[in-house]
Amino acid sequence: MRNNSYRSVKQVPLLILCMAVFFMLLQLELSIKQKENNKYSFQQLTKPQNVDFYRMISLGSNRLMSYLLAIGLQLHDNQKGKHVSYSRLDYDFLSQWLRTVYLLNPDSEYPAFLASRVYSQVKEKNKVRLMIQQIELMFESNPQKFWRRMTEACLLAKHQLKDLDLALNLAKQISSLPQSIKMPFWARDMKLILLDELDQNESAALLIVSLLQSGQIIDTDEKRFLEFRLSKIKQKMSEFGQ
Amino acid sequence: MFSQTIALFRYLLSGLINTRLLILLLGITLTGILSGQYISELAIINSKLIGLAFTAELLRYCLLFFMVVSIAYRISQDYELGQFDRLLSMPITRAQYVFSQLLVILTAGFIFSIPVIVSMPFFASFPLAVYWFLSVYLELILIGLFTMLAILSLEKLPVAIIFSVAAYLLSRLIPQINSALEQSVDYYSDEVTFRFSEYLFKLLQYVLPTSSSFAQNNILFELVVNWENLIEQSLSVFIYGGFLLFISLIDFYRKEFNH
Repeated sequence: MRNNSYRSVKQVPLLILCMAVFFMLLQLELSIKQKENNKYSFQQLTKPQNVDFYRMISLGSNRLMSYLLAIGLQLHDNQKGKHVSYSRLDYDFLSQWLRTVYLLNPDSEYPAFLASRVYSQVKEKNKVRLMIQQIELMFESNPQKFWRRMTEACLLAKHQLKDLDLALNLAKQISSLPQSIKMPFWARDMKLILLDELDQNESAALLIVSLLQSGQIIDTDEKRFLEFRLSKIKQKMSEFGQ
Repeated sequence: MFSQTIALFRYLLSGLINTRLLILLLGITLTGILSGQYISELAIINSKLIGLAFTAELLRYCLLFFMVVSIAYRISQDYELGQFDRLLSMPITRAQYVFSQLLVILTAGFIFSIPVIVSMPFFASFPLAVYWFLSVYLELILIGLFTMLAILSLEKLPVAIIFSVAAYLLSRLIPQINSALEQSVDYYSDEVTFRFSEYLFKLLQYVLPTSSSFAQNNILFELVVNWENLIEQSLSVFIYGGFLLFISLIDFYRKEFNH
């Protein structure tokens, strides 16, 4: 067997020892910095660019670009593996993002869906109001496409904002649409649902059931999403003995 | 003469198609499928549509870049290894060389489009996959011809690649640039530089291929095969391809190889 005997450390040139220590210190510094960077720090939404900018960089694929921006926006509340409460988001910028995504692809339901079903789930009334405004804007430009979101906005106004006047005003906008706009009778009679003494869970369940039965929801993902929401609402109702 | 062209085409193609290329195509196919599935998972609604459009777009750009690099590299090798001197000392005309390269572009474009037909059925119906396959194939032919013109006239690989990519991007951006300029007319109409750029981009609109020459990703969201659009694209590519081909021929005939 070979005898592994070493010479003294003193035999190593001083420069090499110094360099080894220097690089070890650098490595420690780097590790500390990386650890600090990995600490959770919330990054706020930034202002979106002009819609023409996104249209230009999409090279003609503006529809795909709008969906990718919407997904990017939707993922903003997941930062470094942690879910951030929607309340912490800047809703002015969020509204601008939703508007940009909509303008980039007016055929997409994604921004209206995010406004009515995702970002409206906050307690701050001014933030919910901003989301309702976005839905209203989309509804004004294409009532046939967005009447469903408008009915959801009615319930948001009634139950989350406790603003029956606003809810009735929104319902009036739906009922005053010409007959050429095809929608189920209950949507035109949204005023009756609002004036009924139903609580938030009951009216949400009623709306989801009506939407599912109307046959207007073609997208399987949305159907699944609504069915999941309905089962959750029913569970809540049974817990409270309603 | 025809058999000579075919023989030359087979020789040129053998320098392009190899095992490494097939592995790369397999890699692109897998990347397309996996990234499309990943994007689908992220979307709350319309997930299948988004996955479909994303995969289609990703494959298109990967394959376009791949086509540009492959064609430019293949022809640049002919310059570097002095193949032109050898080929032209044989009873082969310059036109035969260019037509053989055209056949290489047509064949390579078809082979490079295979990842589209393999990955797209994971997200869409087979007819829609065929539609996108043909649409990307036409676009690959166009960019292949652009690259052939660039490398034949510029002779240097990096410059030819940059030129081809720039020409492609400019062709895709021209409609957007023109619409932006039209919107700015009220503010800058008195400025000479503005008028000059407006004139320049309007002129470029006629020199570069029209937007109908390119695959239209937006159509995928309709989930209906738009054959009319494909016919229009074929016609645009045929016309512009012919223009590029004959410009390449003029340039190639004017070249002096006996340095």
